[in-house]
Amino acid sequence: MNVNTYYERIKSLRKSKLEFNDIKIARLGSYNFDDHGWVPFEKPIEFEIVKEVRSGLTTGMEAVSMTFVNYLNAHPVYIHPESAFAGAWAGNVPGIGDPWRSEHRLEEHEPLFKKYNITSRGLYAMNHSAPDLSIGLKLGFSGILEKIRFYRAINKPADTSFYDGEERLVEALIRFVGRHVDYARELALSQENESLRNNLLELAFINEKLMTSPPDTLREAMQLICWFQVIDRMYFNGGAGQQLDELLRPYYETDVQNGQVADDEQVIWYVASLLFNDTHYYQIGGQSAADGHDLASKLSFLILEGMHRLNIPSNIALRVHGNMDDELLDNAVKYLFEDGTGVCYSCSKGLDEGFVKNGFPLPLARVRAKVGCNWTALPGIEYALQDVTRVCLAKPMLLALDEMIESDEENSMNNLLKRYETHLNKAVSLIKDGVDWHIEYKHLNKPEMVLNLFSHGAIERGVDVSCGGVDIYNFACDGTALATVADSLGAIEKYVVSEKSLSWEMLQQILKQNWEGFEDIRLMLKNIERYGSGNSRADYYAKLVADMLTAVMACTPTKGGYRVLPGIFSHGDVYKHGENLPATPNGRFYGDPISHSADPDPGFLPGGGSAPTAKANAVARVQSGYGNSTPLQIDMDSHLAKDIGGREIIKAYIRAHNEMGGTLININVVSRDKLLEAHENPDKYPDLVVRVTGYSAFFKSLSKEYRQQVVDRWLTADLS
Amino acid sequence: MSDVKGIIFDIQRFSVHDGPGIRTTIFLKGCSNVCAWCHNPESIANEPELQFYKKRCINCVKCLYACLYGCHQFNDDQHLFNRENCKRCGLCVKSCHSNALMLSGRAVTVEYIMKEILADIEYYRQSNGGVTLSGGEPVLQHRFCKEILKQCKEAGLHTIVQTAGNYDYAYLEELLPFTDLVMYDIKAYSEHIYDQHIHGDKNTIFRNLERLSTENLPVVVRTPVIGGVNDDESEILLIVKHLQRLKNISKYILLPYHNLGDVKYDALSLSRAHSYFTPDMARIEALKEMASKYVHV
Repeated sequence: MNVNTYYERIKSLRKSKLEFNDIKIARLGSYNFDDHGWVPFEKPIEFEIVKEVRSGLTTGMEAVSMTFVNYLNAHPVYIHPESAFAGAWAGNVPGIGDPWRSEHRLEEHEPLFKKYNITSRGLYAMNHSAPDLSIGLKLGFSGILEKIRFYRAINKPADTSFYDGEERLVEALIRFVGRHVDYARELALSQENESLRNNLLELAFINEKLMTSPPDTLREAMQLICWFQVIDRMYFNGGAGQQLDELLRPYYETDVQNGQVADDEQVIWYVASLLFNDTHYYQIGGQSAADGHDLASKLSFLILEGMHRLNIPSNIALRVHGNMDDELLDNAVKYLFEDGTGVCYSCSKGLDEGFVKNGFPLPLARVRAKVGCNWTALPGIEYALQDVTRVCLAKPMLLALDEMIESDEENSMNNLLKRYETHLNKAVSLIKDGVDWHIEYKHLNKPEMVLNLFSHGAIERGVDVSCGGVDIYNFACDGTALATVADSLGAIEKYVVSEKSLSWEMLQQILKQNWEGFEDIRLMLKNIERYGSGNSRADYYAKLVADMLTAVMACTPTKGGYRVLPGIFSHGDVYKHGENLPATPNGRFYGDPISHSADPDPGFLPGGGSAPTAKANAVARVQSGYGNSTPLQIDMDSHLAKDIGGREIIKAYIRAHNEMGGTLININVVSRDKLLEAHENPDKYPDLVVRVTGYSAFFKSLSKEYRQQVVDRWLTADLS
Repeated sequence: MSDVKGIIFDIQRFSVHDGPGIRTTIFLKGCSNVCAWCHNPESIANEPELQFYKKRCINCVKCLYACLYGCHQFNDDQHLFNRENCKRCGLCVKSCHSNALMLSGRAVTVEYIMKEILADIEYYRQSNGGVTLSGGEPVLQHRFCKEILKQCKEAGLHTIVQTAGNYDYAYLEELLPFTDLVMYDIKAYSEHIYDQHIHGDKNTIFRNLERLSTENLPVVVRTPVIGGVNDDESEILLIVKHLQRLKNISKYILLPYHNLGDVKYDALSLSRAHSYFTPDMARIEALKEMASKYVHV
């Protein structure tokens, strides 16, 4: 095969991706989440949703697994003739998103969740932990099936539904793969183009083998991973991958030795095809567990190249550390400039030094891979439930303010902060109660069917990963609205306490009126030295609140004894989290979006700028310090990319943030003019990809609100 | 601890065009050239000045009551500012929360500057960046600059002074032991350009450059290219032929004019005697190519 053929295949995949995106937008209007790899099939899939007799819901292993299997059995086959891999998914399994059984719902907490503006409870959530795909690669699907049967026989559980359900799923998956084998042969019969016909026949051969044996070659291994991606996404949108270069390196090296891989272009095509199948979250680069040596390999570069060539929203992280391969970082930044976005940068110093504080050795910390939007987890051995639990830092402040003013206590900053801490503790306690509840009841309602297959212990023990199927349990909870709170406290201190321009009661009244008739006061409160300026009082409060969050969350376990690790992250949901949040003293209106993750609000420097170094310093200072991420979002104008030395500047910036204890950097480098034009008319740049936060998306597919969020970051940014 | 103070009008972090790597640029107020095309007109006067951004005014009339000198009037929702009576006390600025009124220029200590600078030290380390003193004409505040540069060198930082050379050479000379690179602006060669557009003394500027070129440190010479003023080959040729005769000129940079400072002129109630334009890129490239035959561009 010559180079151009692979090049043209990747182009064709990209073209199909853009066409699918247009269909998706036409169907959904817009979508604000990861692009994912789902294919917009024309007809809806008709299948039977199985309900439990007792609850009337699709809960419990039997009903859930039967529904999933019915969906798989009815799911259409898909092969893109120019892809290296077969298979695709149409969407999440309909019907399995029913609530939990009524006796397993934590209803008494609902009013409290509402009181504290907790919209992402963690409780009831799915996946968001890391699989170990090497299990699948070593055993193959048939080996996994044998494993299930072996342990069912050995363990002799009274209730075999766990094993029956997992067995049912794997059998259905094997049948699904088999249908693609037949389909590939059928397509090959009518394919006139010889190279495409050969490709289809190869797909049939590879997949037929995977039905009964584990993979031997790189292509077979990556095809197996594609099937994992497909069922993982179908099942409650699972998206966690692994450190992909290290996972596949043995296969790649063997293939090179055996002559199975003709040239780099072939592997690049494999990578592009994998990402076309789905954009699961993968990491490249990192450090060896044993001695910390750099793990970057030839394959790391090829994965990066595949991502760049396909140039769709993808979710690959480059692990940054002190002895990383400079050329790999250089390539990543080169593509950042060319494509406008690319990998995110997962920073080892903050992550590893933080994780060991939980009582884990450094080698284990190094293994914890960046496999989610803003998060890391140990593959196959840690139930982390990352990224689905958020505590609003702003609502407790408003509750504390009201309570203090209505009490007999003196109104003061000290008293406000004491009450704030009490309320924050209450909010976090609700989250912790939810964790205990989740562990107790989740497996009875929505078992982690896919994760169980790729974890160490679940099948062996016959126990779901969420309640004893793995060895390590670290829950996660991210604070939101940090800048909103920090600037609010700074404003209160300046104008209510120090300058006495405003009384506490007057402030409360104005907030309840949503600033109506008090625009001048609103602007006054906005006009302080803000969080991010460096030495302001708002900076002091940002650190205070971040440390307070860490203390209330990490220093005491749940009542059940589980650890909850803090981070600060809002995802792209700044509108959702702000929707029901009343006006805040930093000048924000009721219902307006909250601040983004731990970033200072745009225009935070005196004069309205947002220097990248100042922003990075601010985020580095408020890291939670226990190994979960608090990301930095940086959006820069593309003229930096045209400057000589621009690439070295960005590399230095990334390294510096890592040195300062940062944990994650998400970067966009796009022309401000282009972004504004695309916001006005999304169709003008249909292939513009932006990093919304920890994930990338086609700008065109985002709702106007989400696009505005991205644009707002540029409008007041101090451009370099 | 130094008790020397200086007047600055801006601190720009993550500066990537004022020398190598990631830098912090300190902009000092006061200039002895007063070029008519200056895009930072707030840099010229050596004392604080009030800027009035009319479009930001929300007519809250707080400044009317805050000002002791009657500088602010409101007629039919029109905010009129009488600059003649203004004592630049800043009381109206404190009362304005829409940033319509701002005071450009503030007195700061060396300690304050160093705190700002050292906040980004890790970025300088990783990028071989450092600190640049700019303006205005920073060398006019030579005592202040010397203290900053000295402390920067003690902290191991790379230092640059950006200057246009219109002062007593002794001021610059005292900074050189603490300076790694000088960026020297030569705006023109022809006398008539100095007469019409630049109020600096050409002889002083060129004499200082010649003297600087005998010191043992690199000099980067920059020329802002102003459409209709100095954007022709003959003018640039005169400059580069002169530079060719000097030692230690490590690079020559041509900077296209931009009009981003126009709104600041309005805010300071200043007007320009002439209007200027940005030469097109083809012209800039042609000038660069010509210049590269004589000096390193």
